[in-house]
Amino acid sequence: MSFTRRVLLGILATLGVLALLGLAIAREPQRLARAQRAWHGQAIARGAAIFHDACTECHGVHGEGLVGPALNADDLLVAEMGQALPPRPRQRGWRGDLPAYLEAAIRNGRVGSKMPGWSQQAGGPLTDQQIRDVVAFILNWRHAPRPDTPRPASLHQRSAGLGSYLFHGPLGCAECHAFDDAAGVIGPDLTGVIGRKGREGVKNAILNPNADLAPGYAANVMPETFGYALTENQMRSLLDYLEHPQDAALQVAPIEKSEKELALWGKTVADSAGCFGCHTVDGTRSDGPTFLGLYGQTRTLDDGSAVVANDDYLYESIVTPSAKRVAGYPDIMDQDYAFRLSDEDIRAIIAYIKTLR
Amino acid sequence: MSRSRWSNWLQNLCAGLPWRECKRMLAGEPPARPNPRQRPHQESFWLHIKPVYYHQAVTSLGYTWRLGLLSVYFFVVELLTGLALLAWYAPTPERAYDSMGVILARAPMGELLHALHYLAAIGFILSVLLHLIRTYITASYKAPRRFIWLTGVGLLLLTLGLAFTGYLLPWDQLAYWAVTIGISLVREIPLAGGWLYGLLAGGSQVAGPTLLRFYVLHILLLPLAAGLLIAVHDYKVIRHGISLPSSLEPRAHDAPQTTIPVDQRRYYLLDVAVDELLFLSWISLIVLAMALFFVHPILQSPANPTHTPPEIAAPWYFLWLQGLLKLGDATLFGVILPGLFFLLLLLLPYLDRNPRRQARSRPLALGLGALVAVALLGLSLLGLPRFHAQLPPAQALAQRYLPEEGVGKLDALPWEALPQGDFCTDGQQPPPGTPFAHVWDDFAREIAGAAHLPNARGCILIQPAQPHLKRIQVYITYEEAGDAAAVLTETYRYNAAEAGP
Repeated sequence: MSFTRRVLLGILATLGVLALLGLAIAREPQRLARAQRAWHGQAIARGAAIFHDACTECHGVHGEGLVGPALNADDLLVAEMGQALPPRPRQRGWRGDLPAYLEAAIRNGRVGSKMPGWSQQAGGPLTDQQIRDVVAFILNWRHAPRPDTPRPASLHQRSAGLGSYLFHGPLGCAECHAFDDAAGVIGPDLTGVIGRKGREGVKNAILNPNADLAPGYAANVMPETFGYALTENQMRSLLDYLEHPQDAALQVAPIEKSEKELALWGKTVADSAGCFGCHTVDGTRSDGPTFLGLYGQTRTLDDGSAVVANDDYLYESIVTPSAKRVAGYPDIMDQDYAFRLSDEDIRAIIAYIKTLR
Repeated sequence: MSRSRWSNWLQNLCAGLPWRECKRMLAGEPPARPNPRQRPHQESFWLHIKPVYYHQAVTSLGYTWRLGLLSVYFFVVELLTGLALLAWYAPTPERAYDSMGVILARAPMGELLHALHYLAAIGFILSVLLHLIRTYITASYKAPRRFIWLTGVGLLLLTLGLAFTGYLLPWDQLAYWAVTIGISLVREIPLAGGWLYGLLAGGSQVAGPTLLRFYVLHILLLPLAAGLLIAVHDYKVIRHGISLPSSLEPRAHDAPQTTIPVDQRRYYLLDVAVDELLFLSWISLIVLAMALFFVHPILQSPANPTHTPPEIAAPWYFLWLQGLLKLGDATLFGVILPGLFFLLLLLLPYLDRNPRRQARSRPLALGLGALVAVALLGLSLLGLPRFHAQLPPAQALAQRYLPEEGVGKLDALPWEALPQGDFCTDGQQPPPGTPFAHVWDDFAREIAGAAHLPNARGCILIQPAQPHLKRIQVYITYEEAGDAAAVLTETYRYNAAEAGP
């Protein structure tokens, strides 16, 4: 084979390798999402088999509780509004998250009850891996509809509440869109939009507004930047709100608490949410600005503008930390506190910050 | 840029060759005299590994098949993908299996890295094996190249060691039980067996210490040893020259570069280098395409030391050993015979005193070689699971539809095709015409036609267990020696396509 021919053939194969790699990289986000669901599903399926063999005798086939307590229950699985944890772990004084609570309960058992320790360290039969699988199975009941038990603030409602905040607040959707044929709006009416277009359709319309214009509306009116502004969780909340706008209203009802109680609660929330990892309360500088004396101060932002640290600013900075960032600090704060904390939690943290003067 | 800086820059780009010579080289023309193309081989580290030129008879694909190069290529792919995988893998029984989940479902390109690592391992073993066979057939192991063969067999053993230690790391049922059986052979070694087992396993059974030891062997000690041995092997090959075809070299002798007549030289730069790059680029394309589209390494459920799976299969390159074990005593057939075999293989060039290389002059060697190849293939066949002690017929039937590991006829159906209900051969029947009904018909026919299962009755039970979760059971009752007997297999199926993360 001639020299040139060999070189050309080699380049051809190299281009093939690059093309395949490009294809793999392009498909990667979808593959990762699929693989994560599949892996999680396998853990749930394995946990189901273990649960069926080991746990149903006391907790019931559907986790309804026999000798042992019910596991398929809101007070174990769902935190009410204003709480980081569901009631049962909270009453036991648990400070970690829910999976760790379940894992510890299975691993070590309950002294003074019939629940043995299931881990091999505690003399039981299960490996750590198997215990985690059982936890994944139990947590899957969170998605079960349980009409007979009232849900004070389901995850869905909390999510819709956040969506409502985003819709009317920082994203400014409400400046152009409304529900129920409200007059004087610029964009299409959104009543029942999920029912008409489906969640995927609405999501695409938000990310790519000009691709699928409603009849009678002009192109290039709606900004194309929402795709960059929204995290996955925020998008889900927005869609939850558009699907059930009435759910968001349930969440708004405030719990009456004195400012002092709220601040006390806020300190607990701030601690368990990990705020103190980056924010000090004694005035020293850390990865984030100190909380001491923060409230009411005028702060210079990284774009040079100035803003007063009032309730609205603090709320916005917890929910969308990157929006108005104080100059000189890195953009490293988690973007999902809006989803991890309830409205009430955030108000409580702000009340707590107010006390630090 | 001044003219001299340009030419300096070009010269650096051309591995230190003057641009004029570089152009001649790129055009495929012979070197000028005195030969300036020697210089890069003396000055560059990477090029000094390669000779300046080869005898043209050894550069054709059909003679060496570039299997040595291919082995090194796969070794390097293993090193690179393995180094990347280290970023996510945790060598403890508590976390190892979950870290496989991180690799497959969280790490960017993790699934591809894993598939490449798996595939290149197979390629590595295959190319090393074929390299040995090629060297045997062309009688390239004879003096003065005896030591090269010795290091080559050493590399084969290291390759198998790397494969075996890597096999355990995913910490699934497949890994755990195959290694449990494999490592139990160490116990059968006369005199030092128990002590060696303790050294390798770090306890009386495969557990955390075993995983850590295999991990260290897999990522550090064995690759280090293989890298060093490859260097020695390569150095000796260049020192003595690749053996020429037996028609040119009927009795083995040194064939270093300097002995090659001028008109039979093929230069490494750029002639042979292009051949090698062309070869490797196509191999890369094939390997990548296979890793992306065709090869998906099996990952079974997490290792469970308290539950032995119904079938334990050795990896294909150890099937011959599994076959050998079925012939009798583990010490004799599992340790002494294989040990003897590898010892003979190692010492082959010192035992085979016949100096002639042509095929017609070595009927005994070639005949013995063919015999060994046939024996290894036959033993591997014997090692296949189908020659195991068979499962009882009812259990085998249930496993065909709903196996403990992997996918059976029933769980091959998509989620929507699994209707809720308790279907029994003497009770409720599924609506006809659906995909499930086809599987059901097969199942009912097999139950009715099973000669070993008198009065058999089979049920497939599908019930919702949780949101997005179905419980699937296969239940078979029959009579055994006048008594009622039953077999139950079950699995849970999660609808990952519908559910959120």
